[in-house]
Amino acid sequence: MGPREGRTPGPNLSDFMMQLEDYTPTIPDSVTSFYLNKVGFEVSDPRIVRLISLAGQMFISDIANDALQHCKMRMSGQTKKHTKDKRLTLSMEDLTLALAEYGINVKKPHYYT
Amino acid sequence: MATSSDTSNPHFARRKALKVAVTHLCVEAGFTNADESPLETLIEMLQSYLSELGRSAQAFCELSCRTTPLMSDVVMACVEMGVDVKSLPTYARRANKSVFLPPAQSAPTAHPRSLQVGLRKQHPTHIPDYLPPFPDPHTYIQTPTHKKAMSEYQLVREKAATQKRDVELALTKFVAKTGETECLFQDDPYAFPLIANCPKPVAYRSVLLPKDQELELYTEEDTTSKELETPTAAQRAEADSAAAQKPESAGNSQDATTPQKPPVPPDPAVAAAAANTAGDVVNADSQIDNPYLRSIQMPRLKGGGKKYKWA
Repeated sequence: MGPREGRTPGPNLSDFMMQLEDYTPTIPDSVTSFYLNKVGFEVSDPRIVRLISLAGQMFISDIANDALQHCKMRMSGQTKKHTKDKRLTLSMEDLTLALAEYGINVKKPHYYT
Repeated sequence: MATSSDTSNPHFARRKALKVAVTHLCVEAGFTNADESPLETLIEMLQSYLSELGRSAQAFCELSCRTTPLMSDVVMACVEMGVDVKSLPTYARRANKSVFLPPAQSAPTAHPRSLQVGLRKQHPTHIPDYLPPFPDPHTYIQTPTHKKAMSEYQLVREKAATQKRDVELALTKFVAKTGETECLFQDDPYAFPLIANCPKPVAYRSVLLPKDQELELYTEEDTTSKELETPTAAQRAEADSAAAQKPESAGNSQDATTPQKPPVPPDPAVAAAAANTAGDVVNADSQIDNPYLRSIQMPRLKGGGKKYKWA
């Protein structure tokens, strides 16, 4: 058990920042900047903005993946057909289950009263 | 936030962009459909996540006495939020990443230049551009609407003299045209009318007598006229102070000589007394018959048997 490679993410990330120059995350820079400016975060370097948008993307992607797993589990439990239905729908139950693992409790009303 | 229109509210536009991004991420994950409710949940979570990252990074930056955040501040914020920083580059290099170009920023809607008069003044250099422009110049420029009144002594004096002369001229013309005139030329009576001079027999009396009540003047004239209203003269005599003895005696002597007037009840006479002060002037002239100033005449009763009291 040797020393873990790169205990600090510093060198990796500083290289990564160089790559961020050309990278365009899914969330546009202007949108991220809008929300960051709203809370008082103003920066002229777009790479930092892209870093934050990437972090947000990763967060949502992880949750979506977990919800997909739940959905697939549900599908495999229900349908007995050989070819599974390819229509995977993101539903509230799957999302609630996925978020519960993150410690986020979501309770939405089913209908408006 | 729901009440503003889409074009004016910036939140809606950014929210829509976030929705597109979240949908992209879901498609990347493998979903084909999505319900509205979980999608909205994910959008809300993403928005608050980005806001929290920004706030936290700014706090770290300010903690070390800086104002502009650096990458290390962002990394610290990510660590605090529980983001696996090491896997960020790996995530970035994933295969099926999708990118969408945000819609181009529409130009800010120029306000329709309605009712603009004149050129607006430009900002001086010390005023930044994002402040609103100056209003139309007519709102703060003063232009006097009238000529300034003359204040020089000579002009004012001249003007006063001219006005006085004009007033005198106008007044004399008016009196000449409405009152008695004397003709200067025999053949043309309207050429140069002069105001007739009416000398009083005892000239000094009018000057000596007090003139605060004009009734006294008119009572003198009424003694000469024959048609005189008896109760009015009596009541006026009561109201007058000194020098009313003569007209009072003359008024009382007229009582016997005017039997035609029916007995007027005293109530309306009190009200008519006030009107009679002006009416006396008319009576002295005895040419204008003012219907409003005539005495009240009761109509005759038809049908002899009934006797009604007139209210």
